[in-house]
Amino acid sequence: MPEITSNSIADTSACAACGTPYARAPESEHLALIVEAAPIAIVVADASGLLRLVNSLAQALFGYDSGELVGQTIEMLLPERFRGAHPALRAGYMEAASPRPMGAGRDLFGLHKDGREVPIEIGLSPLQTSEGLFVLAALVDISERKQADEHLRLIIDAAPNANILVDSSGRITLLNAEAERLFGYTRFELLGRSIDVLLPVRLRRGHAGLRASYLLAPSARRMGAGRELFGVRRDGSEVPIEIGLSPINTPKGQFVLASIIDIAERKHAESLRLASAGVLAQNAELEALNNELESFSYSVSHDLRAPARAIHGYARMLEKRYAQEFDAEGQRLLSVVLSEASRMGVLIDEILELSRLGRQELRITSLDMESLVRGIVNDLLRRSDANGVVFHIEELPRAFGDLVQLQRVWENLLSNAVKYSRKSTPPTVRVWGEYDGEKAVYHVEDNGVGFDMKYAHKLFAVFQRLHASAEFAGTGVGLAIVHRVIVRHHGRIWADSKVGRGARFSFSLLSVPSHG
Amino acid sequence: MDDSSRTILIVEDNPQDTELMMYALRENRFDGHVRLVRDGVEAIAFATSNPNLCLMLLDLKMPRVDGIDVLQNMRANERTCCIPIVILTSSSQESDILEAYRSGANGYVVKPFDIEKLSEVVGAMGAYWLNVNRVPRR
Repeated sequence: MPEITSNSIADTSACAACGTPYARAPESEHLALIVEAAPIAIVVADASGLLRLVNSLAQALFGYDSGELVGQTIEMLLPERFRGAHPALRAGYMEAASPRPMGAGRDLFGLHKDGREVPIEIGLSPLQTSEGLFVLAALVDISERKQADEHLRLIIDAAPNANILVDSSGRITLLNAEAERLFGYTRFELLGRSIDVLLPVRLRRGHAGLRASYLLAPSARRMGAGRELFGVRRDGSEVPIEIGLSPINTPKGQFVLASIIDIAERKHAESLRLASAGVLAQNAELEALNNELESFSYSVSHDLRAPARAIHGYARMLEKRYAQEFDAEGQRLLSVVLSEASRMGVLIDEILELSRLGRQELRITSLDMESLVRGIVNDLLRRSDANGVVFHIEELPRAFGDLVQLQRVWENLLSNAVKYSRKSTPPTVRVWGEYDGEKAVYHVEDNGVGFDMKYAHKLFAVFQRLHASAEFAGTGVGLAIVHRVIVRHHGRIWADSKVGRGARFSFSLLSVPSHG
Repeated sequence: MDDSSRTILIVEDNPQDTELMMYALRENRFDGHVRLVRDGVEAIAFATSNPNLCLMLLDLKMPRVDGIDVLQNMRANERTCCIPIVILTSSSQESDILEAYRSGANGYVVKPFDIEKLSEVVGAMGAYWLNVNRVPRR
């Protein structure tokens, strides 16, 4: 309880500027006592803005001694920057005076004697006295509260995600830069507005009810458990969000802090993850399916082999023992059975090999391709069907690969080249290669019948033949085997040709670009 | 000891394959005995009771006791451990080849499709294995 002194109102009876004594109204005594007795800082000013009463709490608030303030204009208690506008505001108040808080929504400051600014809250009440209309201003030092607010503001500003502080009526009172960025507004566009502007229109109607029920039992929790939440940006676009709510109690009342996370990116990442998981699962499925197919074709071919062998063997026995008893037509029919059974046998064996190549583990070593190719060419030359073929073998780069499988590749490509150039004069087969970055590229070129590029896509498929088998023997598995091997080596194979002007087959393998 | 006292055992459950092999042996003019059994149990029984057995041509995939079991059984028995056994089978799977040799096979031949080749192979095997343990004639 402040001590009641008379000096706060003593000597206040003369105008500080002109010395004119004021008439002392009897009620002034009472007023002075009441003002002094009030538990908050109070100043009373007259219509012209002169301070008439200053209680000791108000003196303490502004740092003045008793008697220093009475008779001064009230503007001396204002920071410089507000002084110019203040008389007009004062006058405005006088015209429609009623009890109300001053400076609605704005931060108010008083000027301490030592020059520092004190955040204050001011309530204004008109006082009708015999000396005219006075204004009583009740002042609350809100430094501490401001400091608390400031802490909150700093915390919210520093948060790595969007944060919005909403008062109990749903008005936005604070937001951080992340919230500005997320919703595309500046904070001045949002301060004081309802939080509903950040909601899609379809969700606004139920929101007030939800807010009210939250305030009845406020607790820190996730909002919209189980539902997908959306915010709406300034440009009208919606953004998927997650919201955490925390109640914040302040002297100014109940606030709710909404902590908002933009989950668009997470959703995107999630969908990518799901997609890639799907692709992986699909790959595994495809691989399993592929393995199944391989072993299926292996066992089918394998089981076909025995009866085919029996047909061929029995036909051969028949031929050996009874050929003389057949007439010419009988012998022809028997020879067709034999040659067809034989062809079936070759087909089955090649399918088995194709299937085995697909399953066999690769034994990768660094290969001297040139000596590999020369060895195979020598073998071919020893056989009668490569007689007269001219081979040009250039220096070949080394590559990594499975020796046995690549031997098969070269055998197939070279014997193809020989086969299809047999009718040229002279049949010529050229083999060369080069390094291409980390790859080695090889080419086998002949001057044979070639093929129509229109059918190039069929070249490497099983059983595809671009030439009549009467003209060129073969099963159509050879190039499929070549393709399979190269693909398993992560290489590439392609062909180039013109009908009647030879063919060129090229393939690439991983290599180390050196001749070591 | 002449060929007539020597016996080759064919262990094969496919009658056509058996007949083809018999044909191949005849083509190679083998004049000893050729015996046929249809599964592993019969093969082991025959081997333990016939000291004249000088070559077993063994299929891998058979009912009852399969080829690998026959091999292991033969190698574990003192009386049969030194009889040459050549696997003659349809399987060209590397795993089968490895397992056969690990179980004590002396040879592994994938049944040739062509009867001429079969004949060649059987002839060559016979010539080799029937002579490899023979005491040279004076």
